[in-house]
Amino acid sequence: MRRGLIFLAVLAQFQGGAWADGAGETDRLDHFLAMNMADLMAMEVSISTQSRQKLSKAPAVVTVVTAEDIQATGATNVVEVLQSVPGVYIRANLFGFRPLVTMRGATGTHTLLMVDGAPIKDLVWHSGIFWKGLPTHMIDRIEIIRGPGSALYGSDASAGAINIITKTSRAIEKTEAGLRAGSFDTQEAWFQRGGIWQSYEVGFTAALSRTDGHDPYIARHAQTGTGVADGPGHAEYGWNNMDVRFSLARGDWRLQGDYTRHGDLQTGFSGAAALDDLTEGRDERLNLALLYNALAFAPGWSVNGELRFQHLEYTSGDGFQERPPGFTCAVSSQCRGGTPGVYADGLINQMRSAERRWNLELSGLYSGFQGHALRLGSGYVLQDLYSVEQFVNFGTMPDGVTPIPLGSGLVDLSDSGNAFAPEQARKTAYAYLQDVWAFSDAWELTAGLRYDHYSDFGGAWNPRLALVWQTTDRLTTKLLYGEAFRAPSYLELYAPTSASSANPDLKPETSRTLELSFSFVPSQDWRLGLNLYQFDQYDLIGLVAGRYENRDDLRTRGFELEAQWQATPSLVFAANYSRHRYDDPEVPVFRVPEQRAYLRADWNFMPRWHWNLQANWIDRHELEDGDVRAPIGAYTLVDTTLRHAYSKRWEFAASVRNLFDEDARELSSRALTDNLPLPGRSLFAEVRYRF
Amino acid sequence: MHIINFQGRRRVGCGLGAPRATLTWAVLQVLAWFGVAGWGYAQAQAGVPDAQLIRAAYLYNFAKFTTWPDVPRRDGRLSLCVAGTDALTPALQALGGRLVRGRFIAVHPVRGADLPDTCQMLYVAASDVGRATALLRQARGLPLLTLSAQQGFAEAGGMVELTEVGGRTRFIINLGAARAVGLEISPSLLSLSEVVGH
Repeated sequence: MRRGLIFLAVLAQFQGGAWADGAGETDRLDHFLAMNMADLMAMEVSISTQSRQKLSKAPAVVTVVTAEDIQATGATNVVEVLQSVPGVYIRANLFGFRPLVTMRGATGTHTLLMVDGAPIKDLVWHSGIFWKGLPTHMIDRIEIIRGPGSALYGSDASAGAINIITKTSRAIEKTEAGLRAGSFDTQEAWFQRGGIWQSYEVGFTAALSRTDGHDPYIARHAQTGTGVADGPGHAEYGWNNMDVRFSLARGDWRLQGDYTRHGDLQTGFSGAAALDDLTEGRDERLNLALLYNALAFAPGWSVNGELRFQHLEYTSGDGFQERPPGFTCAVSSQCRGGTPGVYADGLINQMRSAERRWNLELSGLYSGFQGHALRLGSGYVLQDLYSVEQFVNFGTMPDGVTPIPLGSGLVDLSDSGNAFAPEQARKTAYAYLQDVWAFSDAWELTAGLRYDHYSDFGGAWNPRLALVWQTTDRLTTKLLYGEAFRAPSYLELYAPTSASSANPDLKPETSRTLELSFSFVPSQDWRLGLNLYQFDQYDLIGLVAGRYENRDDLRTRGFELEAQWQATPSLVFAANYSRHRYDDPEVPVFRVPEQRAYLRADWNFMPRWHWNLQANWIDRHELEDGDVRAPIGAYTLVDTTLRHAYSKRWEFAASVRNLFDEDARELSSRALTDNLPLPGRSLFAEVRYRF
Repeated sequence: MHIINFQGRRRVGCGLGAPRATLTWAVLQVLAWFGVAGWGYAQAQAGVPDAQLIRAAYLYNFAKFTTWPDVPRRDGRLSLCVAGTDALTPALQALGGRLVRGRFIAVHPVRGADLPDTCQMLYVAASDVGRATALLRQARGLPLLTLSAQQGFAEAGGMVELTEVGGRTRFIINLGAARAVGLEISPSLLSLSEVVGH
């Protein structure tokens, strides 16, 4: 860390004399002036953070959600926004009510989730520890690519990739301060300022928030019937958040950083699905990125460089309380090989870890060959889980054999082979090559290949092919094929838990996806889209007799249908419907509801007044074989938001979420007989002041 | 960040606590190098983002597809007046000297309360939307193509309002306001826009 920052500071000073002085800007303007109006109008969307291209011709199925879209829906967290995207389903995890973003029927681990190009996942648990989304007012736009992305992004992008792009100076045109308050004792305050100082672009955003959480009532859980803390209760889901971001840019260079902290985060449950009202965890994340992007580096060449650093740490505080005080461990397997008996303090498992990630990537785009755009790049990632700490009052001593005696107090397992994960680094080197070949006016072929080499389990090749056909002026057809992979997490490779044992011999999960996509603009007021896909996953990792194995293959087929209608100049409707089906119902993966529909209306009924109504329909949950609980029926969540720009400075909004107080539940641990209730009706009010 | 201190057992050497002095030093170095001593707006000479250059290209196209009722000025220039500053104004500066339909674009800032009578296009930037009504009142009756990204600008009597829909720039044209002062906007431009006031 120390060396890294010094390096960054020295590098920054060294580069002082070498700034681009805006060269290339004239060329870029010339390029845009030479375009006709229709092409310009299709331009302003970037598919990755660094390149801009026409959306309908992007060699993937892409959805872009803008800040304006988000503001209209009254969403307070990015997670609520993602729910509106076809094929996306947010699964609420009972442990901390964390959102797992799933796509096309796969699990959350098959979605690559990034914020400003930096993956949020962690080495051990893969879910980004206590990641709970991002406040929406910080977001400039969200780019969602459904389908495989490993040929560009590497691991995890099997079902899709999501990049949340936060506001930098370029998106903050005014200083803004805002306050929001609402149900569940939620409060939030934010401030953002951006501007151009001399020739530097400077941007800053900060947000503080807290909430008590919706604290659902849980009638039956893992303790029920044991005679100890077995009564019904509320799962406490309070947490607070601090999020600070800055960016400095000049010419082709940009330096950006952010610090996020989730504090007093109540997990509600233990990992074993027993109510836990003790644990208040915390995680902290620091990102720094130095980005270089020269559009006219040399004739025909544009060049991109990224140096990224991330620090991520977490602590379980005084928890995790795996089982409540007075818990009786009848046989040693109920207390991880520990001493049977009554645990007066319950089973306490205090965990903390820290990891850092360095990533250096260089890439170039060469457009010197007629009709070709050739992109090549390579990079190196060092992820180092450099601190693992664990203190337990149950299970076995650091030798992993001797049971911890009853009432011994906390035993330090840190730096022993018996700690929950090894202090170990993972190094990844990768290289990729992609060519976009426009072989006629109407046809474009994209071919790409990426190789990733992991220090702990070998390599993975991932190709992709995309054929884009501008069938008519109004219809674009795409045929897409891609392969992807997911590197096993430390949890699966090395980290035994109360629910699983690890397997260092795991192979990566792989997938192959074939897609056919149509986008059709029948008239100026209508937009339609249809995507069909077949998504084959191989060597899926799952538990076999409590141990992780490359267990299953699974084929998922499905489609997504999208429509948008500008009914009048002030009224817009948007809708989508997605459906998938697993070919083999015997494969015991988490089953995402097969159908989802979304409807949204936006009405500017008077100048400065905006009304939004949205409805999300989720099909019933299929239960696994042997699950005797009552199935979870389909449900519809309706939200509405009214927004008023009172003056150029003041803006007000009020929002009701789950308007009809629908009893919606998430499929959860079998110990929860009634599953996990989602938030009921909630109200929020917001005021923004710009100056 | 916090140093985790657990029941006095030991200090954990992770986190940013240990190198805090180094962190502060490094951040100060970086900030000092960037010369960040204050805030404010000024016209940037470098690093205009693509998104703004694209918006400038929109304005260029509006100039291209609009016919003014008066004969071209003798100096052969098309005056683009800019009231206020925002993220787009540096890109508009870059339009200066470009040729559109045989005329060179000249970019003039609007200072003070009065609108120069040489303007043929007027862009009202975000910092000056408060003056939009006053400027529109002054422009009334003049063959002046008025443009702004201010929401409700076209409804309020402005001619071209730039908006953002689905990540892309769109525009609303108040055709009535343009025709009232004799400006002719090409149908090919109208077909791509939302049209109000006709």
